[in-house]
Amino acid sequence: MHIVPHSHTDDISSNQAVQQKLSDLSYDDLYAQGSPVGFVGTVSDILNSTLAELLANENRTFTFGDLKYFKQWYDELSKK
Amino acid sequence: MKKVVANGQLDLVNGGWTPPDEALTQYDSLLDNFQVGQQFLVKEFGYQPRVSWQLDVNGVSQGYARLAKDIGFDMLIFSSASSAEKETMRTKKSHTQVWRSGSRNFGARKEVLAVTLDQGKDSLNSYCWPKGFWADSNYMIDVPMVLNKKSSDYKFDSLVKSFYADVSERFDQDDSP
Repeated sequence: MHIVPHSHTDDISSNQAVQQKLSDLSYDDLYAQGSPVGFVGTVSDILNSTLAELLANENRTFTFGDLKYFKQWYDELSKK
Repeated sequence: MKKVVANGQLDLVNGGWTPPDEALTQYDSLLDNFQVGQQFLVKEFGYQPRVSWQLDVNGVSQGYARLAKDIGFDMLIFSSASSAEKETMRTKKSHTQVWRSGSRNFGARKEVLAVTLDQGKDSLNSYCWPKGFWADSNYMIDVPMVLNKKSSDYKFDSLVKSFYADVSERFDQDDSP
């Protein structure tokens, strides 16, 4: 049996704007603003929390699929 | 960041700008998609993905399978297949197959390992979270995973049981004729 923790950030033409998917707002902020329940998480949340957890324990792995959102997040990370 | 990519902890699969539709997209658009994404990976991390990761893409096509080999993929992972095909896969336990696309022309030269994800009873829901782990839409119920036994929100034991039951159910589906 293989268990593969992975992303499913959906394709770019999804009904949520790219910037919103990369928002720095928290779950609760977005939820309070009335984001649809299905889209309260953002790609930044996934990548920020994943990177922290991977660095904390090198036995952990994560599979990430596609690069539009990833590159935007990565470029921001490089600036910090 | 580069460390967790280099040591394999963060596996950047597929490497397209987006997971492309396979059935309707023209070859040149497919190539552009992978060129833009994979050039970024080669430049920043010095590697090119060998696995095509198309979890939620409709219309898995023979043309894409052939092109995928030329792009550099050895393995295709996807979940789209008709209910009838998935029934057959469950019966024959053939979710993993060698796919020789265009074999009349190419023989084995374009062969890739093809894996169809199949959650079992619902063929449309093939790559999703086990029950209790829906950290996105159901986040107010399913997360956080509280590990402090003294907390009234502690539910780790019940999650382990639920996870085991969910995985067992999928195995049973796969074994049933």
